[in-house]
Order: sequence, then C-alpha cells, then structure tokens
Amino acid sequence: MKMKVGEALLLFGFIGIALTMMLAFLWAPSVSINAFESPAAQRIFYWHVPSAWAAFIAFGVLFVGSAGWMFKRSELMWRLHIAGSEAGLATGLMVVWSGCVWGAAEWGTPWDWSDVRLNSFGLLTLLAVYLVLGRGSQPDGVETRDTFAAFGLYGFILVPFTYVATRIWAIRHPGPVVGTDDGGSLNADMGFLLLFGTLSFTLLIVGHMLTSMRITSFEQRIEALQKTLDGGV
Amino acid sequence: MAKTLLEAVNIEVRRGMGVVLSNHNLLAKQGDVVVLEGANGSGKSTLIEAIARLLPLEKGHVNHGEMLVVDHEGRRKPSPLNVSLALQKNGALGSERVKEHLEIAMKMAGQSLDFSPFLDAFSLTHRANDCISNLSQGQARKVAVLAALLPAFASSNPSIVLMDEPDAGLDESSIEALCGCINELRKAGHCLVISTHDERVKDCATTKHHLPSGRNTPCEPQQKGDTSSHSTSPESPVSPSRFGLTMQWRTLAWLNQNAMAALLTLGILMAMGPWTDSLTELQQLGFILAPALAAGLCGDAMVAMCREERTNAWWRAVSTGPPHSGVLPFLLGAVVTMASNFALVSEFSAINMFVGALLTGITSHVLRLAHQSTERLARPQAVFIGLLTPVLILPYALLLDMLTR
Amino acid sequence: MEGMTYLAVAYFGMIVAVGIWTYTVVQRSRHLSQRMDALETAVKVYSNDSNEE
Repeated sequence: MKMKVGEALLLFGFIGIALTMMLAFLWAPSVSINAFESPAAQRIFYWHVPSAWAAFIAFGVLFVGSAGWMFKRSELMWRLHIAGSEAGLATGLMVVWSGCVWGAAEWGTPWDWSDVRLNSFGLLTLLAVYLVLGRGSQPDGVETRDTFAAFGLYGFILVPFTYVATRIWAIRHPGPVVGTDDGGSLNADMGFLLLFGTLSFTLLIVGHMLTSMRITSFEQRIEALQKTLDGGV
Repeated sequence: MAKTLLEAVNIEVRRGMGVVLSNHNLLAKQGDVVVLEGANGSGKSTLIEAIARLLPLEKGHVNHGEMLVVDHEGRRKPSPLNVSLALQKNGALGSERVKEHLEIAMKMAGQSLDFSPFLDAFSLTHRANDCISNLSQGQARKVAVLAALLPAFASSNPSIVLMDEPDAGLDESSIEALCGCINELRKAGHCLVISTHDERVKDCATTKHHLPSGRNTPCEPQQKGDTSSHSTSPESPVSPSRFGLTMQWRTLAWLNQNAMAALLTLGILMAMGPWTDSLTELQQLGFILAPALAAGLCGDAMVAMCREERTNAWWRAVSTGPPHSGVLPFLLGAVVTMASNFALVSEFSAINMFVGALLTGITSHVLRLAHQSTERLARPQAVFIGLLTPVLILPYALLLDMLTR
Repeated sequence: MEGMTYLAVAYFGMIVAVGIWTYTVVQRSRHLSQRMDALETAVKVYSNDSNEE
C-alpha cells in the first residue's frame, strides 16, 4: 500500500525520536553530579522538553480547531479539533509520564501537588483525556461539537498559564533552560540534541495529526455511505 | 391593530448532524393561535424550543415583542413578555407538589390567581397537594399544561404561550377543557403556538403553520370559549436558588450526596487516631479542610435532579436559569469545617469555618457549571465530566500554602 | 550505573509505547481506508441495480 504524507512523517518522527533517545543515553554529556540528586535521570529531559513542545503544538491546533468550528462551522476545523485533542492527549501523557519518572528519581516523589506547572500540565492532559473519551461517548452532532469545542477553547487558557508557571511560581519544577534572558544553561552538544529531539517530536506530532484528520474524514465518509445504504436496503 | 408578540426571522436550527429548520419564518400577533402541523421529525418541537430560547440558532433571530431575545451570534436576552411553556417532557420535578408547581409557574409572570376552577376543569382538585411523582402520566401532563396556561391567565399583559403536544395522554374532558382555555386566552389577546396532532386542538387555530415548508394557512377558529375575568394579585418571581433550596430541603439530596462525603472523609481521618499533633501547620489545615473539599467535589445534587422531565430546560425558558442550591453548600462547608476542626484539633476557628464555607460553596458551584455546560449533549450522563474535577485540587493546594505562609 | 539502568528502562518503556501508538494509528487509517473502498463499491453496485430497475 502506498505511504501517505502523514504516515511518512510518523515514520521519520519515530526514527528521529529513537535516535534522540540513543544519543541521549550514549553520547550526551553528563551534568554536574553536585547539581542533581540523580544526574543520570536528568537525561530524561531530552524526551520531556521536546514532547512538551509537541504538546503545545497539539494544544495550539486544538484551540484553532475549536475556534474554527465555533465561529466558522467548518468540517476541516472540526477535524483539526479531533486531531489536536488526540495529539494533545498522547504528548501530554508523554510529558507527564517522563516528568514523573524524573521526579521520582530527583525529588523522591513522582508528583507534587504544590508544583504549579506540573499540575497545570496534568490538567491540560486531563482536559485532552476528557475531550477524547467524552467525544467518544456521544453521537456526532452540532451539540456534541459545540460543547467540546467550548471546552477546547477554555482549556487553552491553561497553555500560557503552564508556560509562565515556572517563571512565576518556581517551587520545585526547574526553571526554563531555553528562551531565557541569559541565553540558557545548555552547552552546545546538549542544545543540538535537544533541537534534534524537538524536530523529531514535531515531525511525529504533525504526522499524527495529519493521519488523525484522515481517519476522521474516512469515518465521516463511511457514515455517509452507510446512511446511503440504510436508505436503499 | 393587534401587536406582534412573536417573530422568528430566517432561523436555521441544527440538531445532530442535520439541519432541522432552514430559513424559517414565523409571525404571531395578539390573539393568534398558531398550530404547528407536520409529520414526526419535521421540526415542530425544534421550532417551539428555538422560540423559547432553548436552542442556539445557526442563522436568523427571534424577537419577543419588539425586542431581540436570541440570535445566531449567541445573544440570549430575557424576554420582555411573559413566556410560559409546556415541553414534550413535563418540566417539573417529582418532588414538587401540584399546587406548588402551578404557583411557581404563575409567579414567573409576576401575578397569581385562584386556580381552583382550573383544577376542577382538569379533574385535579383532589390531587392539589400531592407530589407530582404520585400522579399518573396523564395527570402529570395536565399539571404541565396548566403550568403553561395559568401564567397567561394571571398576566394582565399580552403573553406568549408555547405548548408542545399538550394533548398527549389527556382524557376527553381535559382536551375539551384545554380547547376552552386556548380560546379564552386567544380572546384575551395572548398569542399561542401549539404543536399538535389532535384535530380538536387544531380547530382552535387562527393559523396553521406547516412544517417543514413554513406555509401558513389562515383559519377561522371553530370553538367558541367564554371570556371570564380572573382576579389576580401581584407576586414576585421565584428565583432558581430559592427553588433549589426548597427542593434540597425536601429531598435531603445534599445529605445523601455532599454531607455523606464530608462525614466519610472526616470519619476516615479520625479512624487513624490522635496523629494530628505531629503534623506541620500546612498539613493540619489540609486535613481540617479536607471534608469541606470532599463535600464540594460531589457537586450540586440539583443538576442531576433537574434532568428529570427536562426541568432544567423549563426553568431556563421561564426564569433566569436552571435551579441550583444557592447558599446551601456554603452553609454545609462552614458546619463541616467546624466539626472537623473540633474532631481533629479540638479547637474552634472562625477563619477556618469561613474558608471551609468558601471552599465547599465555590467547588460545588464550579462543578455545577461544568455539569450544566454538558446539558445540550445527547447523553450528558456519559460524558466523563468527573475527569475535570482535579482542576480544583491545585487551587486547594495554593490556598493552603497561602493560609499557612 | 543504577541511575542509567533506571533511565534505560524509562526510555525503553516510552519508546515502545510511542511505537505501539504510532502503529495503531497507521493500522486504523489503513483499515478504514479499505472499509471505505468496500462501502463505495457496495453503494455503486446498489445505485447501478436501482437504475436498471
């Protein structure tokens, strides 16, 4: 079967992520053993930060799709909403899971209820779980689409909130390593690997969203064809 | 010249994946009885609910009197006229009494009247003080129909009466009484929009409005009704929170839902023995306030209760919004926190009580709004809204941090 | 080395999970594509039959 663009991006993204993990494990420089409780676990950030970037892309797409459906009633925008929520769920789980793995090694606990960024990101992921499961529980229709698009719009408030959370409430979560005024705290090799990982995750998530939109259009076409047969048989 | 009371202009309404009404127009003036005709699924109920501001419009707008009350851009304003309605579902809780429901319906019009002659006509006098749950389906339907008719009888100003298949399940004499009421209201200058399949009710029409075509056929109403005067007295409308409090008090749903969660949480904490002395101030406060948070996290019992017979939709149409528990969760939070303060640290703290009251009240109302936001869905019970409740734990953690800093 | 073992297990778990997820999505897309083709054929056959009648 001929490979589609979305599937090709998924494949390249996946290979890139696997390569990033391998390089993070075997090649990336170690951090100072005095600065961290668990210096080895720090390498999880080559997964954690790029997947958080991918999650923000996914939630951005969710916002655009939700707004597009609410204000334009566009089928394409509804497909974007679905793709964004599914991609947001997958990447959100990746971020939360990798964060828990690191937290367990570094803090001695996988979750800290007082950490604002951790919790706001957890909530963003929960919103994605809600959108995916909730939508699955309802028949497709304008009522379902309006309700979930509204939640998608409200949920987007959490994105900038999560982004600035460690700048406002630096309780336990490490502060930003890129995009800071002092130029960040990464050396060149770390920066390269982080960039490579970010590109790979971007490819994977864009590939996933394209495939997801294709799946939704198939489902809609199948539903229409079945209705045609219902009317005729 | 008769004033226009109701106007739907080029409205488009979607339900599910289909467009039910497209570029649809409807006009009703004082003294009009518009009967909606059409096959099942042609959009009669959809038109009534759109006029009652219960459905969002994709295009067009609806005016009540000269004022726009709902449009396709999402504007939804209270009607300047008295609007009363009977949906296909009865719009009343089983725990309401017949008399009480009718009084509430009339108070929404700002007036009240002695409705015993109407109870007589509909053979409901002996049931006036019964709970609606004790009535048969036909009797409950009569109450719903009277709740749509009486506010117009009580109102001195022209009213809009919307009824969706009012005849369903009614006996012969009640249909006759219904037709008499329709004719009387028409003569008094109110306007009625009625969806029906019953020929006797159709005979009351001044206009037959065919769906989905939107074609109007003028008619001469065949049945003549007497115009009788009813002495009315002014009343203030019942607020959704007052109604919610009354129902909560009667059903004790708050005890079953919110108070039990708080008591169980407190019981579990107490079962662990005298351990609170060894905790930090933040941890102690966290445990003291935990029962109040648990009570709030159970949400507002009125939301689930008002799904019965689409009571929430009826309230949204005739009042400012669906019923809710108002101040009750705040009071419950204060009491629960006082109890947990005594039980866990043997102290009384007015500040903790105040914080507990706010915690339960705000948590419960936030969850109510989240639940109510899913009311339009085909299956609101199955929508996993509980997944969003952890959103309230972060503010709780930040609150504790702030109070003990 | 204990830290590196912990990291290796975490990385392995995550990459396997992403692999399974990616595979599932692609498979679903292909399955639906085949189903849609089959339905389109069925609809064509049905409309041809109706025209002949």
